[in-house]
Amino acid sequence: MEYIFQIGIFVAIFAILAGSYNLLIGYSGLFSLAHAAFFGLGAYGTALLTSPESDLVSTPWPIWLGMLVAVVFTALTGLIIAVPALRVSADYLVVLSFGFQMVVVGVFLNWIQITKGESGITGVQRPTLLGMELNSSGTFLIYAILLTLLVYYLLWRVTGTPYGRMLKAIRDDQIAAESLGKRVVRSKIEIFCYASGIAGLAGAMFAQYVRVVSPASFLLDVSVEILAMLILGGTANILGSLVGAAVLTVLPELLRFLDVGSGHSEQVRLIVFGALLILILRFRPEGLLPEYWRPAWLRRRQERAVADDLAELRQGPLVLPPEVLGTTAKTGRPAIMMEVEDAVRSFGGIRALNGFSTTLETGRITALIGPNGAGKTTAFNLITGFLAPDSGRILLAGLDITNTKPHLLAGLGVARSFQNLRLFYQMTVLDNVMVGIPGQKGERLAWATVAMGPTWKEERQTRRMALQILRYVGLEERALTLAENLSYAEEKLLVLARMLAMQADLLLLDEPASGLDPNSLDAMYAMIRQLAEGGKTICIIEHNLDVIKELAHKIVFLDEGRAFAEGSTESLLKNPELAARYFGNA
Amino acid sequence: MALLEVKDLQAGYHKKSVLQNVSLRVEPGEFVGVIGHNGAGKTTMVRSIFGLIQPTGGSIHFGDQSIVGNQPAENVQEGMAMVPQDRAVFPNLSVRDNLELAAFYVRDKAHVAHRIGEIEHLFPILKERQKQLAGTMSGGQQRMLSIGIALMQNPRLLMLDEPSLGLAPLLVQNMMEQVRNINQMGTAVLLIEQNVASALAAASRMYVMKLGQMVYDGPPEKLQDRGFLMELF
Amino acid sequence: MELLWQLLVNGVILGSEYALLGVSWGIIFHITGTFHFAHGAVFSVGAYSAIFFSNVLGWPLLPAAMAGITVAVIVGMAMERFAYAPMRRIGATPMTVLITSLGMLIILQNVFPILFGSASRTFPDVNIIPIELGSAFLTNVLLYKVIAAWGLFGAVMAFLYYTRPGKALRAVGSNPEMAQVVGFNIGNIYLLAYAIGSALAAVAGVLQTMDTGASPANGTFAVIIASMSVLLGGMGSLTGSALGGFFIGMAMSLSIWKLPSEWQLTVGFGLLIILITVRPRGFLGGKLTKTEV
Repeated sequence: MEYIFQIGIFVAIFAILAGSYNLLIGYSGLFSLAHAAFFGLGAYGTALLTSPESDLVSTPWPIWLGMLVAVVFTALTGLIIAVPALRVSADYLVVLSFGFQMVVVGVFLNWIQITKGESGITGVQRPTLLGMELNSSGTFLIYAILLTLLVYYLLWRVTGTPYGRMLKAIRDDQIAAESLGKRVVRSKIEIFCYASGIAGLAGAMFAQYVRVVSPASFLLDVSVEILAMLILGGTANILGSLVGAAVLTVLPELLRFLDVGSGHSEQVRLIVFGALLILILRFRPEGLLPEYWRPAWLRRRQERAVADDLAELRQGPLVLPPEVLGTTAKTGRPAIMMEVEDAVRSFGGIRALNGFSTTLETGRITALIGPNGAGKTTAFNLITGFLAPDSGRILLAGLDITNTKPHLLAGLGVARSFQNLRLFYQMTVLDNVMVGIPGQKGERLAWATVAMGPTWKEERQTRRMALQILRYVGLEERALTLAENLSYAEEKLLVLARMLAMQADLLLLDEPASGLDPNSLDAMYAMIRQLAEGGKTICIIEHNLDVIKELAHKIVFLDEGRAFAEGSTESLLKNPELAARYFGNA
Repeated sequence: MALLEVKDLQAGYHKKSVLQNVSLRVEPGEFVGVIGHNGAGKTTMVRSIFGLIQPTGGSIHFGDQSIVGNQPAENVQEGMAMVPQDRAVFPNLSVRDNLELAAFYVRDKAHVAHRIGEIEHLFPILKERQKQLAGTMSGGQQRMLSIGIALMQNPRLLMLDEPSLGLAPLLVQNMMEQVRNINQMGTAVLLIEQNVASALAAASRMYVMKLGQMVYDGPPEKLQDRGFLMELF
Repeated sequence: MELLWQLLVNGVILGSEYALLGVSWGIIFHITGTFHFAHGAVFSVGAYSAIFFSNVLGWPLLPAAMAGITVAVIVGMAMERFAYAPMRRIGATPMTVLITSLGMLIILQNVFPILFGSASRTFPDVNIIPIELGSAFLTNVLLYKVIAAWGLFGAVMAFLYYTRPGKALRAVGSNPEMAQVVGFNIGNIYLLAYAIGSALAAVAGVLQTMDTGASPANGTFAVIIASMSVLLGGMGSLTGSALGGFFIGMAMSLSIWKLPSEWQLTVGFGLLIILITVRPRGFLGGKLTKTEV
């Protein structure tokens, strides 16, 4: 019986480790090898603060305080690698975490005065729950289960909230997420420390159960084992991590009875884990519980919620929500929404933009046309903050936004689409739109964790707004479909919907019509015209002259990095000199 | 028998279907031009023929061989060469190294050296700058190097994807002159261009592509009529 | 003062050892873009195979070493041919490739202790000759490490810059699409990169075996140092990878001047963190390119 309790406790510990690791690897796309190190930091922290044997403190601290401090300390230690690495790219995190894992174990081994080196620290106290000291495995198991429930609650407050949705968007396409206004680097650093802190909590519990902490329990091998659990269970599925932890903790124990013998059990175990990683990725990469798997009752509840919202919305008119149209909040839009003054931008030796100037007027559709390589996409990138001009100014409603970053511009009402769409393909249509809606308090980690009720309410409002937008573009039937399963025309509609969700005044559309069949084209035309009539400022890059004739009030002809001509569609298309330029007269 | 025969080609990226049943033909030694608006599918077509993209339907024959599904390396062996739109050189290698590497699998070193000499004759700047790192040359010079690279293995068909892109008019003129010379020496040319005038001046037969389909196949003269041309775009 | 001189000498030795590791991993990373963590296993394959030929089959040291290096080259190439290439063909994500590489590392690193035991294994007939450099002591084996590192670095650079296959390698690394357009067999070129990288790692492995013996954990340590060196040196520069490794080794050795020797690795890592924070592109890295929008 004791044995079974022990297994249960280890399942709990690894469930916490696998779940938190999944936050990094599955939800955020951050590959770190240091999870075992953070596990160890939490364990050592707890031991050093609460064990009478510890040389760090003269008298042991109260258990709960020691545990809390250890966990917070572990989370903060994460900053050491998170900040330098994630400021650059997730690739850097791979190498730095690899080194960090080794260095931390090295510290455990070598800082002998404090950590006692290889033999480790003994005498860690068991906590007291409700007056009862948890002396037996049975009672400890209860504590372990409670802690696991707490942790899974915390994990759920990340994954099942707008914050988790934002993490997935960042994972699927960081650049698109930035263009929607998400603070990418900050969120990555934040979640890294959060997940590492939770690993530290597992360490604390481990230390309290085993009562001894030594370096051998926190080697790179342990990171690999936890990785195997989460991969088996299913990346980006928290429930899956629980399952994976259970399976890969219990199974080796069962195999122990069929003794492999020869005293190499540890190595054989690791070989099996390594092989498991390779095989799962080869034959069932999504794991046991794929990312969007939910228990049937939960899925039905979500479907019903969407259906109910849609039924209610269908009783109303087919118009965009007022926040999106902007009539409620925005008073007195300026006549000229955007001005570009003499923008210059070079790449290497090539001048993509050579003194480009133009204005975009409110309520009008401006088309940017010109030969390939003339600088149209570069102009978009400058306007949306993805590039800074070498010289020149960009003004948004009179405000100088020349060197402003993309996520800030999103907040100022600038929305863009991309030529290669950049949808969040592993997310549903509905989620793609919901993630675009600004001002969601639930996208802040602290708020999402603590304010369950208000987040829930906000989520319902966000969902309704997103569904209304989907109704407008005609995608509401596909709300719960994964974006990767849409047809091309549907994808283009989703791109528009996601942009609309941003409640932006200035819409920059990169080839909105390319690749669409005539029916979808008509629908797209109607929507874009309606948006302009409603007061949006629209700029499109297009090559298809038919589209331009349909939509544009004004054409800006970009060639050799400058606005060669600007004027009404009629006049420009009749201008022989421009036609010559457009068709290329050598 | 046509040197290159493309029938009902379908291809695209991701889910976007770009080419809708495109057919095209190049006879041995012919100079064929393809024009059309941005996004019409010209580059997609060339890349599909060359093997950088796998088509989803249709057939491609080079000589009597079906080459659908071939990797670019196989097509190069068969005698096809392509000059891509951008970044078509190895920037951190010298001009000379770029040319030599283009004939990497050719064993006869003397032959390679001779061929380089012939290409330097066509584009003297390449001899002048043979030791210069390709990435430090101007856009026009790099373009000539790319053409030189494509010519190293004496292809039967030379495909150029918008070679005038980003070049000053005088440079374009010079370059097109050399391409015409190359064609006169027997190499068939398939020229994709946005710059209509330079294509019309050089090609003996023209295609116009619009929205993934061929909308014209005939002599270049007819396309001199600006009105007619605009309709096709 | 004498201590400092000894530490400098040690630093050159350790730095050279790490430079070799950096170059061995760097050549693979720069040309193929793969996070080849299983490289650590290749290092160990070199070391343990040499032990096998020498201790089990009784071969003299040099032939055993050559044989060990050969086996490592075959294993490294096999990993590319049978693991990485198929994954590229089916469009596997970088994370999948990385985890698979990690899996291979873990499997092999745990096979060795089963076959050879966990204790350090040494060659039976290594002749260790002490050398005096002023007041500093070193051995012939340590000197070999320095000579091997820079000799091989020079040889690899000469190969890359003065031979056609070498230039082809650099070409593929600098513009993979153009390499296709020109008709290169990319698969074979990648194999060449893995062959060279694996050979260098194996040399490092054999030399370490001559010095302190082959232990199961050495391979993992080697690839961690190698990847840190490449990061520090900057993406895109093999010379940077060598310098990065040298810097880490030198810093670790000099740290002993003021700190107890156990703290070497922590110091090395700490310096890496500080340097990367201050200069993310590393010593000789090019501008960090943002993904194209």
